[in-house]
Order: sequence, then C-alpha cells, then structure tokens
Amino acid sequence: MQPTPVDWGEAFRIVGGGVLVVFLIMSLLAVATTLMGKIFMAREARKKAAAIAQGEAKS
Amino acid sequence: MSWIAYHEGVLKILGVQVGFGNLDLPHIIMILVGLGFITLAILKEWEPYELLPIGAGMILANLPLTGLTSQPEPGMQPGMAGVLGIILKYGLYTWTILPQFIFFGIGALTDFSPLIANPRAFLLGAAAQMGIYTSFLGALAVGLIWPDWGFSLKEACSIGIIGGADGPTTIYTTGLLAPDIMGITATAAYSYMAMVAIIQPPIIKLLTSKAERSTYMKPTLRPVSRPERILFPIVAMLLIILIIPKSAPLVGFLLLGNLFRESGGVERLSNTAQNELINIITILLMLGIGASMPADRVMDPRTLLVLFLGLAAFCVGTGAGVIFGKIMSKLSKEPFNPMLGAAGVSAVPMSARIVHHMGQKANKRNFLLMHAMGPNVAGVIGSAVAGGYFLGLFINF
Repeated sequence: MQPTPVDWGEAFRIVGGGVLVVFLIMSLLAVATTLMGKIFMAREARKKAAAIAQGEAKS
Repeated sequence: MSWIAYHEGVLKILGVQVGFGNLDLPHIIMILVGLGFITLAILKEWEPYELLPIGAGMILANLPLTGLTSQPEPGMQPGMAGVLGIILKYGLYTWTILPQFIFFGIGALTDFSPLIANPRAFLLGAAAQMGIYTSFLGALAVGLIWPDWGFSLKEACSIGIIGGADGPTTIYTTGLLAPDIMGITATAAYSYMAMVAIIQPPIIKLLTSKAERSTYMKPTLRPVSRPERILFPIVAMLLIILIIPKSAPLVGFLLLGNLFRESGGVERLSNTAQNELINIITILLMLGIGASMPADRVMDPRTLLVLFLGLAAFCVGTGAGVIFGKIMSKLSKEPFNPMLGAAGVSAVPMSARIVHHMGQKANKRNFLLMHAMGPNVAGVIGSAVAGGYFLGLFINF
C-alpha cells in the first residue's frame, strides 16, 4: 500500500460519470419495463375482452 | 549427544518446523478474529453461510508453516501450491470466476416481479448507490489528512463499492482493482449486510417522521405475466451491457441465472444454480476471502479506515435512498412510503424486511414487503452497474 497523489479533477469526473451512468441505466430500465408492462397488460386486456365478447355472442 | 546439544536441536525444530515456534502476535490476533467470526455465525446467526467459512479461511491462512496459501507459480514443483492459494489465484485474483458464478446463482434465486410491477423502484435502487461515490471521495480524502495512509483511485473504487452492500460485486471489483484489500472489503460488505438491522433503522428514523413511516400503501402489486418475467432479463441484459460492457461479467451472469429461472424450460439447470452450484461456489469463495487475510496484510492502520469508509458508504447509501424516497413521495399521486428508499441497498432481502417491519411498527395495517423487494432487487442491478463502471475506467479485458 503506497501513498499516491490524488487528481481531484479526475476523481470528481469519475463520481459525476458514475452517478450519471447509474441513473441513466436505471431510468432506461424503468422506461423499458413500464413500456413492456403496458404492452403485455394491453394484450391481456384484449384477450379478456375478446373472451367476454365471445361469451356474449354465444349466449 | 550432549544434553545442551539435544536441547538446541529441540529448540531448532520448534523454531523452524513447529507451528507454535512461529506463532507471533499478529497471527494470534487474526486467528482470534477468525474464531470471533465463527462464533457470530453460529451463536448470532449473522450471515452464517458467509462468515463461518470466512472465519475458517482466516484461521487456516494464519496458522504458520501450513503452506495452504502458497499460490501456484510457473516452474513450481508439483504439490507445493496450497489449496487456498489455488482458490485465491484462480478463483479470485487471476481468473476471478467465483463471484460471477455466485451472481449466476443469485439470479436464479431472485424474483424480479416486484420490480417489474413497479418500475419506479429502479430509481430508488439508483439513489441508494450514492454511498459508493461518497466513500470513494472519502477514501481519496484520507490522503489529505494522513498522507502516508492515502488510497489510490483503484483502492478508493474498491472501498466505495462496499456501499452497494453487495458481496460478489465488491469481491469482483476489488479482485481486479485492488487485490491487496479484497479480504477486508469483502468481509466489510458481508459484515455490514449482517448488521442491516442495526445500521439502517436509526438512519431511517432520523430522516423520516412517524407520519411518513406510517404511510399506507396497498399491500399487493399487479400480477406479472410469465412472458414479462422472461423478457425482462433479456432486455435488461442487452440494455445494461451495451452501455457498460465491463458490467457483463456481473450483470450478464445475474440476468442469465434469472433467465434460467423464469424460462421454465431448464428446471434442472435452474435448480442446480439455486442450490448445488451456489453452495459449492460459496464454500470456495468464502474460504478464499478468509484466506486473503494473512496478518501481514491486515495488520495495517488502513484496515480500520477501510472498515470505517465502508460503513459510511452503507449509511450514506441508506440515507440517499430514503431522501430520494421522500422526493418520490412528494411527487407521487398515490401514497408512497419514503422508507422504501432504504431498501435500495442490495442487501437482499434483509433491507426489504427491515422496511417492512418498520412500516408495520408505525402502522399495523401496512404490509410493505412486496413494495420493498422492488428497490431491493433494483439495488443488486445498480451496484453491479456501479462496479462495471469502475472497472471500465481501469481495466481493458
């Protein structure tokens, strides 16, 4: 373990980049997951509606 | 042989070949620390699957003259490398394959449904990683106060990552960036995970009012369909790795394990990943972590600094999560309990349980467990992303 001089400019760049990257990726994942959820929920709703319509048509 | 010569011979054997003759104070202290870990694991049940083999590895590595931690070298005679040295070299330092397979098992064990049902939990998982960057700066600032004990950029990254409360990410990142302090950072990560129930509640209480803690949320989340659960690891894997390629060894294996679980088509493989594989890798990895702490490496004032900075990272991560939870609570149209932010550190499922219990204590109607599991598993992804980002700065595979 040797002491080393610190480049504070680089250190703050690393922190800024890290915070940005983590929030960017997590936000993109949140958006992608929300869209995915909406698509699948709409598909489920359509299936249910079709099943109900089919049931009503039969009766 | 004269009486004196006989005794000189005995003393020589004691000094050279007998363990007792080579035991010094630092080794005795490390053996006692190892015994302390084993005691905590057995009597207090603090992360027993991790702390017991770590303690055992620590004891074995600090017993003199065993040769157990001798690492294989080119040209070494057969049988000269010790089993712990082989685990260290190939499992942790050179190939670093063990943390990745632990992540594979964790992926196979993790149900991402609470996160898929409530995607805003991703943001809480991101906010709780702030401790990583605070301690990174803190580690660098040590050199301003005590120049002889300063940490390099790579060491600061490894210390900061403790704040993710994620053992495999800490081990993998430190193994590649600062192997000399890997044992300490890994032990700190697992120890603080074991102490979640002690560390987190005071911070949560400090940052929230009783009214905020008692905020009622509907106990159930929307059901998540199977196609969603299958698609999630694929989409997340592609998205994360295409932005941070160096996170692939962690994120890729985590989500691959999860795909095995959710696909339903490879049940035997998924079961193996969840049970036999993760158990075998845990034994090897934790023994290796314990063995990476010989007295000469650990008996250093900087060890205490690493432990303190790791704890600070964990506390700041919890606090940042709660503060972000408060912001989300203000912006949300529906009631939102700000304590959920504390579950963004990836100590799964302990943090989620703590939030759940505190929620019930404040309001008996509250059942926050499923809500808290979302940010908790998001934290696993968040810390792996943070680790991958650090690796991308210094490592070219």
